[in-house]
Amino acid sequence: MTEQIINSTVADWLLQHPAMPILVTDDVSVSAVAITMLDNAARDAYVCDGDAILGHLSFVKVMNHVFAHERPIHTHRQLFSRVTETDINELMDPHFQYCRPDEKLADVLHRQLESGTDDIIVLNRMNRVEGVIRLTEVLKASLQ
Amino acid sequence: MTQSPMLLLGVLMVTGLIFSLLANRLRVPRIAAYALAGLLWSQDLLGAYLQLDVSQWSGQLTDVALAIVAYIIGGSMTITQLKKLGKTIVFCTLGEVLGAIIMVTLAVWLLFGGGTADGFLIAIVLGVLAASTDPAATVAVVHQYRSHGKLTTTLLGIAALDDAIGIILFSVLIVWMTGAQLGGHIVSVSVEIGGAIVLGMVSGYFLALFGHRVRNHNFFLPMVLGGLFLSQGLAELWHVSPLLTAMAMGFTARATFVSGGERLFASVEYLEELVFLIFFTLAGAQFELGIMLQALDLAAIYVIARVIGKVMGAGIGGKLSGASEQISRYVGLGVIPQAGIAIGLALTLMEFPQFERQGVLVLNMILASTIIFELIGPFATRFALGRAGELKPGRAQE
Repeated sequence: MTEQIINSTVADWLLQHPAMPILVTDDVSVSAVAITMLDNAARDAYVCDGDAILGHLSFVKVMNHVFAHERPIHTHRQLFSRVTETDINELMDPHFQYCRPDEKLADVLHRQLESGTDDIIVLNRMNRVEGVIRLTEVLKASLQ
Repeated sequence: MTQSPMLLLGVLMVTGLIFSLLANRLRVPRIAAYALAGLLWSQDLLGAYLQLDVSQWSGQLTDVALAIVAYIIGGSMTITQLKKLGKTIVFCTLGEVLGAIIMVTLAVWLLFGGGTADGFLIAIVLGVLAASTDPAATVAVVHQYRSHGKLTTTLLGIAALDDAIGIILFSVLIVWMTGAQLGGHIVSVSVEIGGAIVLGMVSGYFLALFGHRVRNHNFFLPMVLGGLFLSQGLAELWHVSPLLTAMAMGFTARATFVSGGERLFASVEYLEELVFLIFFTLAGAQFELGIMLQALDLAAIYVIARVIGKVMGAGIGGKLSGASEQISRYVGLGVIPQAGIAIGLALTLMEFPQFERQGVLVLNMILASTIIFELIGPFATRFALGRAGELKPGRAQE
C-alpha cells in the first residue's frame, strides 16, 4: 500500500482524500487562528486575501505566540514580538511550502518532512487552492 | 602546559557548563557560574600553575561571537514594530541609556581627578558599557511572578531595545577613538560608520534573497554564518565598523525577508547561550584580582552611578512621555541587570592598542559589576513590579 501511495501524484491523492487547508484572513486574531486549527485538528494554516495565499502559519508558531506571556522567553526577537502585540501579517511566513497537482507524492512527502510542514497546501498553476495533503492522512492510509 | 586554543576553550566551556549545572541547583545566576568557571583558570588561580594564557587567541573568537549577537539584535526588530513600541518605551529607553552614560562618565571622570586623558577614556568607555540591560534577568522575574501590566510591558520593551542602542553607541565610540585618518577625523569616522551601514544593508539584502531559495532547515545556519563571516571579513578589509555591519545586516535581512524571521534568525539564536558561555568564561579567565583590589572605589562608583543614572534617566523619560507616576517612578529599578553584551564589548577593547593599558581594568570592572548587578538586579525588578501592583496575587509573597 505504501508503495502505491508514494508512486501516485498529488492529484490522484486528492481525488481519494479530498481536503481543504485551513484558510484565515489577516484581520483575525492569533487566538482565533489557534481555535480554528484546534477545531479542525490541523497543524498548518494559510493566510489568504480572496484567492491569493499570502503566507503560512504553523501550529508551533501560533502556540508560541499564544503562550508568549506564560513562557520565560528572552530572545530579543521574541521580546519585540511580545511587546508590540504582533499580528498575523507579521507572524506569517510569506515564503511557504506548496505543491502542484502533477507532482509525485513521494517528492512532496520529502519536502514536507524536510521543512516541517504537516499540512502542505496544493496550488494549481494559477496559484488557486486545490486542497491540502496532511501527513497524518498519508500515514493512516499507508498503515491500512 | 600546551597552549592549544582548542584545549583551553574546551576546558573553559566544560568547566562553565559544570558550574552552571551546580548554579542551577543553588539558584545562582548561570552567568555568575560561567564567570567563576573562567576565574578558576585565571592567572590568580590554576592558570598560573598551568601557564594558561587565553589572551593570545581570544580576540578573534570574541569578534565572531559579538558579530553573531549584533546580527541577532539587528534582526530582532522591524520598522513596524519600532513604530508600535510607543512613546513610553522609547522615551524611557533613551532616558535610562543617556542617564547611565552621563552619570557613569561623570562620576568615573571625577574620581580620576577630571584631568587625565586616561581617566576620560576609562570614564567614557565605562559610561557607554553601562547602557545595556540583561533581558534574560528581567524576563525571568516577570515569568517567576507572573507579572502583567503596563510597567511589565515597558520593562520588556526597554530590555529589548537598549542593547541595540548600547552596541551602536559602543561602535561609534570605538570608531571615534580608533578611526583611521582619511583626510580628517570626522570624515574618517563618517566613512567607517556609513560604510558599515551600507555594507551591512547590501549583505542583509543578499542574505534575504538567498534565504528565499533555501528550503532545507539544515542549510539555514551555514547560510547565515557564511554571509555573516563574509560581511565581517569585508568590514575588516575595508576598515568599517564590523559591529555596525552585523547589526545593519540583521536589520536589512529581516526587513527584506518580510516574515517573523525564523529562517534567518531562529537557528542563530540557538547559539546565543554558547556566545555568553564564551564571553563570561573568557572574561573570567582574564580576571586579575590585583587590579580589582586596587580599583574597588572605581567599582563602587560605577555600580552606584549606573543605578542612579538608570533610575533618574528612565524616570525623566517616563515623565516626558506622559507615562503614569508609577511607571516613571519604578521603571529604572527594573532595568538594573547588566547584559552579557557589555562583557563581549569589553573583551573587544583588549584588541585595540589605544586600550592596551585600560582594557584589562575595564574588563575586570565590567565582569565584577555584571555579577553584582545580576545578584541585586532581580530584587530591584521584583520590588519595582511589586510597587506597581503588577505581580500576580500569591506570587508576590514568594
